[in-house]
Amino acid sequence: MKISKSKLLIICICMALFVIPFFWIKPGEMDLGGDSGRLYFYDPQTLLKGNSLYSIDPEGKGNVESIIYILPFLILTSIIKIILDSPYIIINLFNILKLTVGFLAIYSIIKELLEIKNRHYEEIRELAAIIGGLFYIFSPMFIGNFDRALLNHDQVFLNPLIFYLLLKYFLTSKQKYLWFTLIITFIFAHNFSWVSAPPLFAFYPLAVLFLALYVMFIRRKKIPWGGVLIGLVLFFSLHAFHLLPALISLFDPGSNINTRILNSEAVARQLDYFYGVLPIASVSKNVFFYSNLKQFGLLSVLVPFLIISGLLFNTKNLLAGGQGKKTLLLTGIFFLITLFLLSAKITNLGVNFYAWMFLYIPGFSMFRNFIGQWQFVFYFFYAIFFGQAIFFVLSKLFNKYAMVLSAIVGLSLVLSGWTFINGSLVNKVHFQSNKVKYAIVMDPKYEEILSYIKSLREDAKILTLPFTDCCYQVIHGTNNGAYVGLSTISFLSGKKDFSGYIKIAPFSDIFLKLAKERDYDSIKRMLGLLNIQYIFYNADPQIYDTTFPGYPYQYVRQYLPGDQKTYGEFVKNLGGQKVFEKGPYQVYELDNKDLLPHFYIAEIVDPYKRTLDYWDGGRKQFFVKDRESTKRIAYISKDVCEKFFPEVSCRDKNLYRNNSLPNIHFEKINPTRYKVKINGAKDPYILVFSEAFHRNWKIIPADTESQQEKTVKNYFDGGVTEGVHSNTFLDESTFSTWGKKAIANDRHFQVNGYANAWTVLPKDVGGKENYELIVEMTGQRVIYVGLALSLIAFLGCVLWGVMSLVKRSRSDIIGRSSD
Amino acid sequence: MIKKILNSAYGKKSLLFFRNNKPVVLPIIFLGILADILFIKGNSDLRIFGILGLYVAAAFLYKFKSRLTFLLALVLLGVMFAEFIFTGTSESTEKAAVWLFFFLLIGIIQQWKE
Repeated sequence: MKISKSKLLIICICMALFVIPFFWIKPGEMDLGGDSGRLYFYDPQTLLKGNSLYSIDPEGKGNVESIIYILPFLILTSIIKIILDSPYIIINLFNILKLTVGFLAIYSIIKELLEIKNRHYEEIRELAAIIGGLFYIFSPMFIGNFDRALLNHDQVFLNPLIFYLLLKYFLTSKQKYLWFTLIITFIFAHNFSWVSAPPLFAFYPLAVLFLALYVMFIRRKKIPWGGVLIGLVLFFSLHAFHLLPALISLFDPGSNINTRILNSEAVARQLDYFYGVLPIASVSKNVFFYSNLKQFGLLSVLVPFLIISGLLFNTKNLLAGGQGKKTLLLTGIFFLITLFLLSAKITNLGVNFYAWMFLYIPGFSMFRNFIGQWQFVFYFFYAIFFGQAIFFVLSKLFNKYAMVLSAIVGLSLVLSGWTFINGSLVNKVHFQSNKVKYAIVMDPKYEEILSYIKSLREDAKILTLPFTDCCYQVIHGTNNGAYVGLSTISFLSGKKDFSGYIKIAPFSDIFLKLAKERDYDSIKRMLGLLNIQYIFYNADPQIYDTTFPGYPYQYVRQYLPGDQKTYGEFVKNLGGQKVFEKGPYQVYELDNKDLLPHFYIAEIVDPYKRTLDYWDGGRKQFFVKDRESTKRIAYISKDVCEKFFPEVSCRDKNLYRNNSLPNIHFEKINPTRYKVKINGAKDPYILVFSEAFHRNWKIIPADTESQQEKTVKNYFDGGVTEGVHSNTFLDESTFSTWGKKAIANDRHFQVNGYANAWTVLPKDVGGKENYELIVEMTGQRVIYVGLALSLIAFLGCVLWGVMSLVKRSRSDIIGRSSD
Repeated sequence: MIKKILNSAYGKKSLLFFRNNKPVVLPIIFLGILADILFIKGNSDLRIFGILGLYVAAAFLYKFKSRLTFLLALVLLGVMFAEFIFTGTSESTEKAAVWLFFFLLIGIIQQWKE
């Protein structure tokens, strides 16, 4: 078999792309950091079993937040991890996937768009498509986002791949393209979820519009609308597990999604953000193929020059299928649209129009960071525009000159991405660190600590020190690399971790102030109120002292100890008992007399004035004022108090005092479901649940009372006992509360600045004194329904694929035998 | 409305002036663009859309081909590149980029119609 020169070139490029990522990091190293966290490369199984299935944030106070969209991808990475057992190889394989699929998809799109009449131009078409592919993978957008890649960074290869598959489907009506599109979107569901809404809505509406216009008006073919409709139904069914909760949340007034999209005040705030980003937007920088290498400044004009030249030469009708010269022009229009959307600064009228879209198009505020959101779409259209344009330029030249020009352009594209090829754009030095790299070789001692924390009781909450500005944890590897990213304790051990300023809200500033004053008693009260029982302290000087003098500790360092030596004393003064130590890693169990359990009955309710006039919102008094002798206290803001306790004066220091407290026993079934046994409830009582307040937390009386089980911890002389917790996603009792009425729903309010509380009356439970309640996050039910729907759709898709394959092989056999 | 304006005495006079001064109109437009990029500070939509309107009218009257528009775009690219090299993403570079944007848009629409 003879392979053409261009095919050989493609094979060589693909092989190079396959090898390049292996040089970025050394064997054994991992690049796991970033705002989305990439811990799924390190331990996907734990993530899969633990947090990904529930609608509760595994960090901090347990806000309602789901990462269910990552489920199919976690299953895939778990399977790969079982086979390969090397995060290093898995990370590289995914980088290779981005590079090769990104290149090949753009190459294939350009080839498809340049359907030529004359075979004479075949080689030129190949060259143009290769140059377009190279342009895409070495574009500033592509190479500039590999470090700390967010989950939706997959769009760099998904956008062209899905575009190509849809193009082929629209042109040929062959079901296999639709099938592959659906399966790919399912595997990379996180790129089609609420969390990826900006890149999703930036690319797909424009891409589908382009395809529809191209197929209908240029290729003059009919779009298989029936198939498109079936595809859409299957898409929504496949993605029901994450789209259904997001959709319900969208129409739930006050929810995060609802506020972001439909609340006019929130939208106005996004507009301010847009005006904040506007000064750094640039039209010229986007038009030039701006390289990170200054030496390539002069070459940056090459791409727009060739594009305009291509437009000048776009006169001869070289394309087949009645395409005329309009494909290039249509692409040009989309290029200009995306250039406008990316730069916004096309005249003052353009800026005003952009601002108008924020105000009047629901959801457009997601593009507040418009540069970050539109750059991927822009470079996609730029690449296919450039690929087509250079075809027209090359077609005007003699073959020899066409080859030379292609070589010059191709080489300049590759060289302009040299910092990407050599890995310095990927394995960077941490911001403001003392030359510490991103790629880390995990310290085995830290892995032992993680195992120990995993073995702690299921409901344990942990404070991680050194504390960070945002929500990060820093771990230094055995090489000169460090992990700076989401808490590994939360995501890999399943224990709720408070690792930074944001996670400890609404007490963030109070904590820092108390820390600065070294008011250990008040800090302990605060930790007690947050139900934190353990401290994880990383005493490694390489993650604090001089190695990380700034980020990610810049702000909090002003209040907390400045070096590891004083940090050690700070931890000791918090009065914990060291229960585990390995190398620099230490775990302390707090001996905290002020600890409030996950569930308790409030003995006293103390009102406070929540106000914006004070830096602490009025909450500092929780910890620093003379506390009541009782520990079972619940603080309630006066506005909430007036709503829920109209019969008492909310100015009273102790508006509510319960002298006949029932005993309770609680157990965790999973992060969205708890079992609480109540004994001796003669009078009304206030049940406090130390988990972030959300109105979807409901209490539902259980049908049958489970057997008294083992007690692992007791509080208040046995007034509250804690049983053996579990993490059961699905069993026979999972749906036992469905269809049952929740009690005390209208008496559900916030206490302690963050937690849930319900006033339960005897009439709520039919006057019973001993009974069992299920405390459930009812939002989780939608995830169960969505998962069932998605599973059915997925099995249907697999069946469809298998049947098509069988049918095809059967017809092949029949064809061969008839021959 | 446009027809009314064109049919008015003032409109007819302007059209005649336009028709008779083809060699003057185009350089004026181009010099106007260059002046806006290189010498005039600040952005004015009136200026940009005024000159663009003049160019579109000239293209319509003199039946300019898209080729001319793209050639002008090439010149604008040159100006923009020179500004980029010497001043970075300065105001004048950005202005040149905006002009390039509009000339590409006009050129594409012209070529589509040709």
